[in-house]
Parts: sequence; C-alpha cells; structure tokens
Amino acid sequence: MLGLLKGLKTTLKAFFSKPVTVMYPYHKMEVAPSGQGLIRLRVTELGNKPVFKCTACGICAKNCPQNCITVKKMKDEKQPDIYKVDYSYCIFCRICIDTCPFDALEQTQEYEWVGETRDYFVHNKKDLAMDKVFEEGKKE
Amino acid sequence: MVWWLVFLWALLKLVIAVGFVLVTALILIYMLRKVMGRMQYRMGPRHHGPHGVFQTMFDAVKLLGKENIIPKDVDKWPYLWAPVIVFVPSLTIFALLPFAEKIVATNIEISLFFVFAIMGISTISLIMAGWGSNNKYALLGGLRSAAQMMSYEIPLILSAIGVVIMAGSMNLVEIVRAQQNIYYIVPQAVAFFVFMTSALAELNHTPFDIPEAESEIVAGFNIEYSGFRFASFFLAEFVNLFIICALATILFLGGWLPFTNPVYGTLFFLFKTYILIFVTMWIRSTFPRFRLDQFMNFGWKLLLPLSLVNIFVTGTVVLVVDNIRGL
Repeated sequence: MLGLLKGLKTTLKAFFSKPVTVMYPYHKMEVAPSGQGLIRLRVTELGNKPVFKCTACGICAKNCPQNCITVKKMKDEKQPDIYKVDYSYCIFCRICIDTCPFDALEQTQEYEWVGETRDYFVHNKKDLAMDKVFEEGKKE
Repeated sequence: MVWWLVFLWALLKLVIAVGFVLVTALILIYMLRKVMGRMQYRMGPRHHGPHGVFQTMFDAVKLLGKENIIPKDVDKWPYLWAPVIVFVPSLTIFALLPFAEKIVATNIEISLFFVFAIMGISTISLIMAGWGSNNKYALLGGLRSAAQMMSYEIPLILSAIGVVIMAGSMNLVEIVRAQQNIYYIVPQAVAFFVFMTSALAELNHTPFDIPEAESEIVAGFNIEYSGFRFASFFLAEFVNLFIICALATILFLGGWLPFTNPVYGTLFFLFKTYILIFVTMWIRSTFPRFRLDQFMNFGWKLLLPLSLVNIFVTGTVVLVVDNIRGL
C-alpha cells in the first residue's frame, strides 16, 4: 500500500515539474559538444597552404564495419584524391575516428539533414572539408 | 396553450444536457492527454489552437471523415447497434444529475436507483460488440469486459446503499441536502474507497483496463470498429467517467454545498467533480494493470465483503443513534 502512495507522489511531482521534451522543430535541444553527427576531415596548414591531415592510408576504410568509406590516394602526394563517405550506410560508430593514426577525422554536431535522392547521401572530399578553408565545401 | 410550452421547456432542458455531455467529453479527452503527458515529463498536445485546445475537435472531425468499413461476416444487428446502445444510457443519466439546488433536468423520487439501473444497460452493448464483430479476440475482449463490469457493479451499488441509509432517501437532491452538517466521505470513508475502486473497474480504467489494453488484446471488443463507431465507444467511456465522478461527488462530497446559489453551486460542483476526475487520471498514469484473475479476486473477495460490512455497520449505528434520540 505504501508503495502505491509513493508511486502517486512521484507522478504528482512529475506533473508540476518542467517537461523534458521540446517542441521540435520550433525549439531544439542543445547537443553536447562531443557531438554525434556527421564526420568531417580535419584541415591543417602546411607552409601557408591548407591541406588535409588525411594521407589516404585507407585504415578508416578497412576498419569501417559498414564499408561506407572509399579512399583513393593522389599520385605522388600524401593527400586523398577521392574520399567518399556514404551516409546511408554509416552507423556513426566512430571507429574511423578512433583508428585514424593521423587524427584526421572529427565528428560534428549536425543531425538534421534530409535528402531527396540517394546521391545526396554520398559526401565526397569537398563536402567533408571544413568550410571555412575550402569555399565549395559545405553541401546544403 | 400551456401544454406545448411545458413540452418545449422540457425539450430545451434536455437539449442543454445533451450539449453539455458532448462538450464535457471533448474537454475530458483533452484533459486526459495533457495530464497524462505532464505526469510523464512530456507536454500534451500543443499545436492546433492555444496550447492545443482544438486537438480533440480535430480528432473527432477526422474520425467522422473515415471510410465506413463493415467487415464481411459480421452479425449486422448487434454490430451496428452496439455503438448506439453504449451511448444512450450515458445521455439518459445526464438528465437526472443535479448540478445545483434547482438545476436538474428531471428529478424523480428514486433517481439513484434509476441511475444504477440504466448504467447496467451499457454492459450488454459490449457483449453485442464482441459477438457481432466475428473475431475471436473481440469476443474474448467483450466477454472479459462484460464479466468485469458485472462483477464490479455489485460493490458499486452496495457501497452507495450506506449513503442511502444515512440520508434516508434515494433522491439525489435529498441526499445532497442531507449532507449539510458533514460530507458523507467522513463517516463512509470505506464506502468511498469501495465506490471509487469499483467505479474504475466499471469504466474499464487502469488499473482495471484489461479488456481494452492496447498492448495485450489489441483494443478488445473495439477491434473491428473504425471511424465514428469507434469514436462513439471512446466518447461513451469519457462521458461515463464524468457521470461516475459526478455521482461520487453527490453521494460523498456534498454536491454543490455549501453554496445554494445556482451559479456558484454549479461551479463548485463541477470543481469537485473535476478534482475527482484528476485523481482518476493520476491513478491512470501511475499504476500498471491487474491481471484478469487478480482483479476478479479483488472484486469478489475484498470489495464485496467490505461493502456488505459497511452496510451492516451503518445500519446498526443509524438504528442505535435513532433509538438513543428517541429515548
């Protein structure tokens, strides 16, 4: 009987407290800084020229459980020529970020992206770059 | 010249009562969704009008617009008449409930008896719905529901008899008038507990809602109904909720007392009724549901003996007190 009354008290307290849900899409919840969104390639400076930290070694592609990364190396340069991530398969497990020996990938906080065709979900090298350096970076 | 005026006045009172019924059902559905949402740390409906007040209306309009599907091998008469029969007793009872000293559509000398008699008719509509749906799950749900409602009507009525003994009359207005010194919830606390618990079982409310538990028997007897027929069962459940809480207010909480003014009396009566409805929804959001055999045990082995003991004790005390006064 006492347990029943305790349950009633909990529910009543919940009635008078602030709700946890928000009215999406008019209000959005704050995402934690260690975001769980899209993967991006990191960019660094090498003698005043922006370069990717990625050297196209292919470790991320080999370790990806869903095989959604395609890497191809540029000839005679340690930069990726083709770097594609197919987001219709990605499960956001962060294995690619954890296994990269050059610390070239990071995860952003973007979770709202809707596409109309399947091609929309294959992000290539330019989309994965940080947009403040490469101007044609971000896909809208 | 005068007879048709009397007829018109009676018709107007009944129309107001019916309109009140439907508006109350809409308000209660909205209240349930908001209260249950808040108790689960989420908001209720928020679109469709300020704070979502038009949500129920839009739901009703949506249900009206659905396709009229009648499954192939149903038993036509029980299937089609069950939604009507479940709704009519609720409307009839509304004509008897007093909201204030003079605000009652019709007042007869044995109104409490009449209310309980009519309330029993809605049980048969569930059996009709279950049988007529040509579906074994509907039949099972309908039979379980009918068994539950029948077995809990007995403690419900017996617990009200204690109040009748103390008030000396079955007229609902007289019962409220007799509570001027003390509300009957104080001497009849056991009867109040039995009444509210049996009421929850009568209404198929949690924790007794096995017949219409969505996750267990897939809506029970409701399963083959769609569109407005389903809305009819749904609305009838909420109207019955209001009626039972109004009855509990009249029998145990003193109705509209201490206000005898019609306006204030009605408002206070509605306030008390809505508090009881809130408590019902509070219970609904908190407790899991009983198993079928558990609540049959509860009804027959606990509530029925309790209500009989209550009648015995009440009768004895009233007799003794009257004899002492007579001396």
